[in-house]
Amino acid sequence: MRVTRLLIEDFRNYARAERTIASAVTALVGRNGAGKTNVLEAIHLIARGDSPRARDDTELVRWGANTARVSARVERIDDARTVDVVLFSPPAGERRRPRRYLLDGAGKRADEAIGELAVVSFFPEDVQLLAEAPSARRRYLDSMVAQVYRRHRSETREYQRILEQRNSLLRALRSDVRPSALESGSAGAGEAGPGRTMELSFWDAELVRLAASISLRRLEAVRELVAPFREAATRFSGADSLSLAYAAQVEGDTIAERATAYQALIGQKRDRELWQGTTLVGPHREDLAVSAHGRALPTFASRGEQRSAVLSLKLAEAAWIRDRVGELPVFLLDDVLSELDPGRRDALVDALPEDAQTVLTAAFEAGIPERLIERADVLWVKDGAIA
Amino acid sequence: MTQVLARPLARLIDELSKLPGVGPKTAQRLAYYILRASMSDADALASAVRAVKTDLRYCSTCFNIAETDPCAVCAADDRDHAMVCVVEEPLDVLAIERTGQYKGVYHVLHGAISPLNGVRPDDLKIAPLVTRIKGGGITELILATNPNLEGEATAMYIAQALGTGGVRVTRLARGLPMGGDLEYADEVTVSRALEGRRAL
Repeated sequence: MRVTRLLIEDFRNYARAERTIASAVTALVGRNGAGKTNVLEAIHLIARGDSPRARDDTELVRWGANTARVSARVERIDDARTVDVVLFSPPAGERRRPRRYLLDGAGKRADEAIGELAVVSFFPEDVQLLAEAPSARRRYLDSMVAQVYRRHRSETREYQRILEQRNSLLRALRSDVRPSALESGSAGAGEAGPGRTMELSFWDAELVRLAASISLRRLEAVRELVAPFREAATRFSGADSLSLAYAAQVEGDTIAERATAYQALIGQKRDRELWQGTTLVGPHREDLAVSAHGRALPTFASRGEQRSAVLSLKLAEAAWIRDRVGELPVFLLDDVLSELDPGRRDALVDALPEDAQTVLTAAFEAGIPERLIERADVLWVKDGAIA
Repeated sequence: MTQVLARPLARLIDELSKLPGVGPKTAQRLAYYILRASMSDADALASAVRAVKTDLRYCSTCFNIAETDPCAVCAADDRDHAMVCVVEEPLDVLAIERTGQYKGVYHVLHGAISPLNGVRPDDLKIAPLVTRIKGGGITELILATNPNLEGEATAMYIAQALGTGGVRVTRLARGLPMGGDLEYADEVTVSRALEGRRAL
């Protein structure tokens, strides 16, 4: 799939920029702070509904403007649609407004518009992915899975709500000394009496239902990533010892098996959950584990090794999306090439499929390998304008 | 600073702007309207406001807001006292009454379970409901809590609290709204409607 036209209005440092993108490779070249990455960010926003750099929409709206718009023409094998995202940054004191999404000009729910375009992105921050806290890897994995299974997005959101309610209840139960009006037993604070179990049971059931479905989708995706990941890793660093696994709390290859296992685990951890006042069971405690020679990677890997591992992961992600969706995603490469040694740079260029669309940024044209630049449209970016 | 706005008027504007959905501008407009209204209209408003605080009470059977205890519905002879419809708020009673189809009585919980907002089963009128059912004479309980997470949690809790004690416990059907279009319904609603399909 391809982005063939991009319109950016009042987004970051752009007042207005519109480009038709004809070439498979587009290189955005310009000085630091010119606004190269903002273009990649805009495409990422259209595809995944979030920005790898901004926490809040107000950061994305140009200073002094109240609304920003990103509009992209997305061409796929069998259809072409225009996806618009409108972001609001209301003046101080006014109510915040949710984003608006449009498909071919008609207002849609976020879940319908997001996922029209699939991307795989390499931003400089991604190098940290394997060394960061597990939550970053879970977010990465969920975002990847949601590109293929739209349901994953709504389920993870629902899971988050259940988790908040259940944690509040566990905290309340921990500090609870009054016996419930309906409780016949005489369990003290922090013990699992019949009344407590009854109050928890609805949240347990909802947690188990979503946990089973979310974790199974993640598990299956990671299993399918292993082969392309190893292949990419070997190509990159010759390190054939790298491997990938989904570190789950339970086993099971069907939703029913996993649900039973989570339910059993909740039973085992009941007293600890009540004592700690937080949910200890579920996919929010699981992780995407990268290992070398059977050991976890972050403990010993150099920055270079980590970069190679992350790039391998992203290339595997692209292969996975191609297999699942039937089309290659768009590659977004933010200043990646300049940070690689020549060998790895060539390996990356080799690994980029020729028929995939690639949008990349570089501070100098000379930083882009010849084999890429000869197929590329070079666009000069300066002070929020694309020449 | 000189008090430009007469104190009683300023007080009325302040009080009105505390009401939900009323901003400072609307409050001003309402206050000036009351100022210009006849004495009898102003008195009627004042006494109506006072009366909702002094003349209303909770029905000790169903916990609906009423003038009398028991309330008109609980005291009525022509209603089916063996069927109890459990709702979250007094306004939900009105919604069900509007159908004109329901002949049973009610039980108002005054909220739904939401640990996040600090609402636990004991904060709702669930224990009195259990007592009411144990008292006998009730054959069916209709759980009409809202079809959201909190409403479902409340319905499940009540069903569990009652156990399998002879009373038939039902839940309101979920699915497509009347006059709606299938193509505009979201996946959750449509899948619930499929689950709850009926033979014709």
